[in-house]
Amino acid sequence: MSVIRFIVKRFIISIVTIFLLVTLSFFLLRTLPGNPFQTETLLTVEMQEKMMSYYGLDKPLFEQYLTYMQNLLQGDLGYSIKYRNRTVNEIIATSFPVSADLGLRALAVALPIGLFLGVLSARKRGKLTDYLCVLLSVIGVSIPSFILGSFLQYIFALKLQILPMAQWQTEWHTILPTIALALSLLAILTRVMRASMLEVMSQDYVKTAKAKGLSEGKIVRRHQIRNASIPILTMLGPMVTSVLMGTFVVEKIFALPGLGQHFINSITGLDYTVTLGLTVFFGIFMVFANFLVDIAYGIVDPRIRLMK
Amino acid sequence: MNKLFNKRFVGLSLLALLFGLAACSTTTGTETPPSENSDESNDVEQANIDQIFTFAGHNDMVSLDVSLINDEMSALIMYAINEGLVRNSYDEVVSGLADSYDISEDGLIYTFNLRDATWSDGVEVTADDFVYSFFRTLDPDTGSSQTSSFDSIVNAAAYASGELTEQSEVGIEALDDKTLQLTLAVNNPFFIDQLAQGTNFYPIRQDLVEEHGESYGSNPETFIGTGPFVLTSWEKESTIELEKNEVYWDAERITLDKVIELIIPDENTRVSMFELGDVDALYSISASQTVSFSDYGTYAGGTLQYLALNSDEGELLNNESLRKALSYAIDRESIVNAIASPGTEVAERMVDPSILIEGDPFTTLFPNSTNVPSGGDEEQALAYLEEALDQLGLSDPAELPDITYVSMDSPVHQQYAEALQENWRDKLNINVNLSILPVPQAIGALIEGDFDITLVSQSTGVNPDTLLKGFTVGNGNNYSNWENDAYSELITEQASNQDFNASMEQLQEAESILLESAATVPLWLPGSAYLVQDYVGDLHYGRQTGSIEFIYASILE
Repeated sequence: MSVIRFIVKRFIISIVTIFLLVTLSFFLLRTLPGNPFQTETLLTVEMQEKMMSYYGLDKPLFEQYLTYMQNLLQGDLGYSIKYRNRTVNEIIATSFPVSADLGLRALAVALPIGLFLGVLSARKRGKLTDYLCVLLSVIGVSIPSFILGSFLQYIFALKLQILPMAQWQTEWHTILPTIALALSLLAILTRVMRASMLEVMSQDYVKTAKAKGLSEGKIVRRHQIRNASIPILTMLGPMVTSVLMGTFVVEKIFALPGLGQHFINSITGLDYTVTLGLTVFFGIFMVFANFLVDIAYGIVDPRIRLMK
Repeated sequence: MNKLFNKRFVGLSLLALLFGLAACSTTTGTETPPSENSDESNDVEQANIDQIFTFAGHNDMVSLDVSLINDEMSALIMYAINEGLVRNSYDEVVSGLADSYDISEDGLIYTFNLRDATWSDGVEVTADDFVYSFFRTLDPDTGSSQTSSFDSIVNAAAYASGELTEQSEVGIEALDDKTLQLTLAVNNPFFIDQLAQGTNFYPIRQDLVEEHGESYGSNPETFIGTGPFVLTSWEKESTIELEKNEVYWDAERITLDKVIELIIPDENTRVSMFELGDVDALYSISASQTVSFSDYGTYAGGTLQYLALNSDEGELLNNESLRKALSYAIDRESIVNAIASPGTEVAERMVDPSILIEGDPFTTLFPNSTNVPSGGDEEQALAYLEEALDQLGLSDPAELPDITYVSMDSPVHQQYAEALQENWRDKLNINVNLSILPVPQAIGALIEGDFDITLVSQSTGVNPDTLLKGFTVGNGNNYSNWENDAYSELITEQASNQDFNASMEQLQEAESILLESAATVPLWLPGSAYLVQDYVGDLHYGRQTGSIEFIYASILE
């Protein structure tokens, strides 16, 4: 019963969150100076006005807002202003699978390795292994992905010629972008896991477990990792969302048809409908991811189960 | 549960590592790296030479809807998959879907005789396909931003604005299935060049528009063309594939069987792919990338970049001497050599030297110049500055009010802005503030007149009056807000002058007034560098597309 109440409550909060998100984005976006027809092809003022009225952008802002909300309720995100005859729904439907595919691959690489290295370096604190792990994570965090991506391309595609340079075609094409994206994730995960493990390792219950003669392996698995993974879980919601939504830099370097480029290009080009549509999509995804994280808390740590 | 989870993670990560290693070892052994070309390499052994041409573009095309196209990338593909009445090929106008055309004595009535051509699905091309296309573009309900291309045609502008709804009053008419008649408002000898250049003059299939509505032209399934190639695949932001159109009327001349455009936004990646041989040609390469290649080609023309100096009443640069001082201080030659893309040419005037009149450049037939040497003239500049300070009642350039230069935030535009700022500071001791804005905001400032100086890039078109007609009083394209009644009168008169030579002379006279005023400072005609592999033949870089024209290309070996 309480589970259902929890879910219903969360659902209502989510709806309100998304509503506020859309409303705020809608009005904030329109406070940006300029209009989408002020492009480098230099339309005359009359032509711009004509286009503004064609798109209904000259109507009172609140009226436009109501129209947008009405369409949104029916799941219609509207037509892109730049890509004239493509809907935002279509853009998401074609680009999201690519971003999500890449993101999942990167997570599948980064998550196990990152957590493993985090645990390892905490367990071997102060030893060479620890320093190596810390070094790797510092490198991973500090090298921007456009440098790493170009470096990988240079070595594996241009010099060794064993992997394709760019594009998203075969399994081989996925390897370099996956590594480029995974390294920074891996580094963050390693650092957080290490810090969290170190904290857990000095807790009283670990000492108690030791005192009652539990084997080292069991202590690590049952008590330390389990408790240390709470901060990781908290991170995971936003991390998974942003990774699956695409990353502009990696997509650009490797010429991947993902969502990240649409986020950036639609904002710089003032393609209102695309920016808003992507924001809504991102918002729903984020809210859902956080919801899953909340449920996962309960599984990992009975103390913070939200229902009694 | 937890234990299992962790074991899986470790297992997965090991698997990933193994997978990575396996990938390395298997591919080093084989002769070709796995890539999107792998299935093509099989064909090489079967056919003599595979006629597949692959090139990389920096952006995806926007639409296949002839009425809506206003970007270079869409035009590039549209040029290959559809065709107009006449076609611009190797910088000459040749016949397209019209077999021949007649122009009436007074130069106003154009009658096009269509050839027996079909759409790529076998349906016959008729004059009605053109009539439908033109009226659809003009129809205010279509929301095309390209209606002004039709301005020469009688009443087209009125129809586009919605003032006129009677199609019979517009100078577009199908006399019969194979005869199209266009009636112009004034004699415009450049009309044929306009038709040849603009993809907005291509025909449209009415039945497809009616069937697909808003999604017409958003994917290969909703589009049919008449051109030498057929669009077979369009993976958004990734790959565009064309195949030879076997029923094209001039199919014999087309050698390529397949054309692949890869969308590669990052320039470093594009150039590396060219080095690897993944692509056969690249275009629009920046100066820094050409360093590693000895045999790149260049091409200029089609666009002019000029400074608009805000000459509006009450603005600081309303002072003509000050404008001249700024103009004479610019060392265009050094800036072009140091920053501009390869092939960029210094501009002397507001007309593109590549505009031809019966084979001769307009610029040699009707010469004009700002008379500012390409390296600038510091002495002249200082003399004009002194004059300006006198008129303004100032004694030192430091006392001048703030001058704002609005620049777009692209790297090249910023570099131009910085170089110009340095010219003015070093030679005139004038400090110009840079305001770097994103494109829509920079264009907004330009249109609102919210700047002192800004750099404008405009397409020079096929008619020498393209840029000049914008500087008339009250014109929306008069970004300098410069007002000169004599100039406006000359421009209006020349536009309706039925005597071609006299009208060109009037244009020349008007231009000298504009150049003399220094309300606009022509800077340069941006060039473009391109790279082609040795084994590609007959690839052309033309004004039609502003990029590569590949339809008659071939793979030689």
